[in-house]
Amino acid sequence: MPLLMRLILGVLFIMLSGWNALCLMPRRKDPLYLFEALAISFGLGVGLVSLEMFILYLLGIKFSLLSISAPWLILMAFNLLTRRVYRLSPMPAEWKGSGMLQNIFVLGISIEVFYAFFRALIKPIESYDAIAIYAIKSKIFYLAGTIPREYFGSLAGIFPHPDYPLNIPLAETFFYLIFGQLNDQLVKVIFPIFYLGILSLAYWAIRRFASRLHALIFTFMLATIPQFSAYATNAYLDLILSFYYFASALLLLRWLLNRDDTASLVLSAFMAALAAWTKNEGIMYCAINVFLMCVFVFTGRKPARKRGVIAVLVYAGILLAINLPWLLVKAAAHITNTDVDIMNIDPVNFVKQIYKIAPILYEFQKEFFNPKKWLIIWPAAVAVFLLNYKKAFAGTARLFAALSVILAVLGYIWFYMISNLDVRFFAGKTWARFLIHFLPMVVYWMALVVCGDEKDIEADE
Amino acid sequence: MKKSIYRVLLIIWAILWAVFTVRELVVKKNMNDYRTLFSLSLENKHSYITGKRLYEFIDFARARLPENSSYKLIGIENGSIDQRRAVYYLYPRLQKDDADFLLVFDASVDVAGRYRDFAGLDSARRILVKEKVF
Repeated sequence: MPLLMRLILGVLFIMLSGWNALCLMPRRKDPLYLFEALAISFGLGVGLVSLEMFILYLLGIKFSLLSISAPWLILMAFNLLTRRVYRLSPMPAEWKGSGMLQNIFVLGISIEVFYAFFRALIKPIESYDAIAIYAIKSKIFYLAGTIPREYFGSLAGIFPHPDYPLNIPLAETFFYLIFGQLNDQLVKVIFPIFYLGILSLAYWAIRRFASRLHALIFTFMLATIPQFSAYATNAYLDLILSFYYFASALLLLRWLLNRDDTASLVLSAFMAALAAWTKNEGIMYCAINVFLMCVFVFTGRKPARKRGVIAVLVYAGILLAINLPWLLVKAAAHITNTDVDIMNIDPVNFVKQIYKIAPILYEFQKEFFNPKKWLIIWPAAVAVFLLNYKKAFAGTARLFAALSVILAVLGYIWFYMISNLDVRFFAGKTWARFLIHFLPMVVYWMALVVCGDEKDIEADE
Repeated sequence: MKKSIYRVLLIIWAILWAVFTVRELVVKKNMNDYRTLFSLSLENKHSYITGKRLYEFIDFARARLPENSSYKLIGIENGSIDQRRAVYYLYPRLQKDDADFLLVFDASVDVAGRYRDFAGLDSARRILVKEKVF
C-alpha cells in the first residue's frame, strides 16, 4: 500500500477510535458540533491509543497493528451492533455564511492551515527537543516493538528527560507501525492536525455566543500568531498540550454553565488527563481545573454543592486513573524531573528564590513586546481588558477563562522559582513556549469580553 | 469609540501578519529551502538538514558499526543539535564514554595503544576501534 494511503489510514483509525470512545460517553443535551467532535475525536484517539500501547507494555504484549487495533475494532463493532451513535448538534443557521469580510478571514485561516501542513510535512523531524527527547523515544519503541526494559535503565542516559510522559512518542510509534517503516517526515502530520483542532475548537466555542464574523476574526487572530503556527510544524509538544488543556477547559466551562451536562464533565476530565499524559506541565492544568471546579462549586448555590462535590471527586478520579500507571512506573524506576529541585518547595528555601522574579518578568516583557513571534496579541489582550475592565471578570465564563489564565501564569512563575536551573537561561528558553499553552484560552477570554452576551455565557443554575 | 479601537487593532494585526508572512517566505529565504527540499528523498532531506559532511559520516558509521556496539563522538560538541541528531541517527548503537568505537569528526585525538584505525571517509572523518574488541 502506498505510504500516503497508510498515512490517511492511520489518521482515520485514530479519529475513528476517538469517535467510538465519544459514543460511549453519557448522552448530552447540548452535543458538540461536527467539527468540534472531529477535533476532540482526534485528540482523544491519539491519547487513548497511546495509553493502550502503554498498557500493552505493562502486560508484556509486543506492539503490532493487530494488538493495537483489536480493542478498537471490537469497540467499533459493539457500537455498530448496539447502534450507539454520537448525536451531533445541528449546524447553526448560516453556518457557511458569505460576505467579503468573512471570506477574507476564511482565506487567511486557510492559508495558515495549509502552510502549517506544508511546513510540517516538507521536512523530517529535526529541531532540538523534537529529536533529542521525543523522536529518539519513538525510534527506540519502534525498533524494539515495545518499551524495552532498558528504557528506564541504561537507555535513559542517551536522551534527556526520561520522565517526560509518552503520549506522543507512542503515537509516533503507532504511525511507524502503520507505515511499516520509520518515516520521521510523514509522522509529523500529527502536529498540524492538532493545530487545526485547536482552531476548530476555538471557532465553535466562540460561535456559541458570537456571530460568524466575530468567531472568524478571533480564530484568524489565533491562527496567524507566528509562534503558535510555528509550533504546529516543529514536532514539539507544546501545541498538543495546548489542545488538550483548551479542550478540557472549554468542556469544563460547559459543565459549569449547565451542571446536567455530565458528558462535558467526563470528557473534560479525559482531556485534562491526556494533557498530563502529554507533558508534565499538564499536571498543573489538571490541578487548575480541579481548583476552579472547587471554587465554582463552593461559591455556588448550596443545593447544588453536594452534586458538585461528587463531580469534583469523579473528575479527580478520572485524572488519577488515567495517569496513575505512568506515575507508578516512573516512581518504581526512580525517575524524577531533573529541572525541579524539591528542596525549593520548602517555604524557607522558596523565599530565597524571590530574586528570580525580576529575570522572570524581564523575559516575559521580552515576549510581550515581540511582534515577530506574537504580533500584538498581548498588548491587544491588555487593551481589551482596559476597555472592558468592568466586565472582564463578570459572569461565570469570563471569570473562569480569566482565572484559568492567571493561575497558569502563576503556576509557571512558581515552577521557575522551584527550578534548580539558571533562571535567566531557563526562562529565556521556555517562556515563549509556556505562553503557547494558554494562548487559545486568552483569545477565548478576549472573545468573551468583546462579544459575549450575558445571557449566553452565564450559568443557568 | 471601542469599536474604532478594535478596528485599528485589527488593521494593525492584518498588516503585521502580512509583513511577517512575506518576511518568513522571502526575506528569510525559506522559499529556497522549500524548493530544494521538495525534490529530495527522505534520506537526502536528512542529509540536507544535518549538513552533508556530517550526515555522510554518520551514514558511513551506520554502515560499519554493528547495531549492538557503542561509540563516542569526538569533535562534535556534547549537547549540541549535531550531537543530538547523530545520537538519533546512529541508534540502536549507543553513545558511551568507554565506547567500542570513536567517531572522529574534524578533530584530532591521541588514543595510541587504546584505539586503532578502523575505517575512514577521509583524514578528517575517521572511525577508531578499541584494541582487542573486534
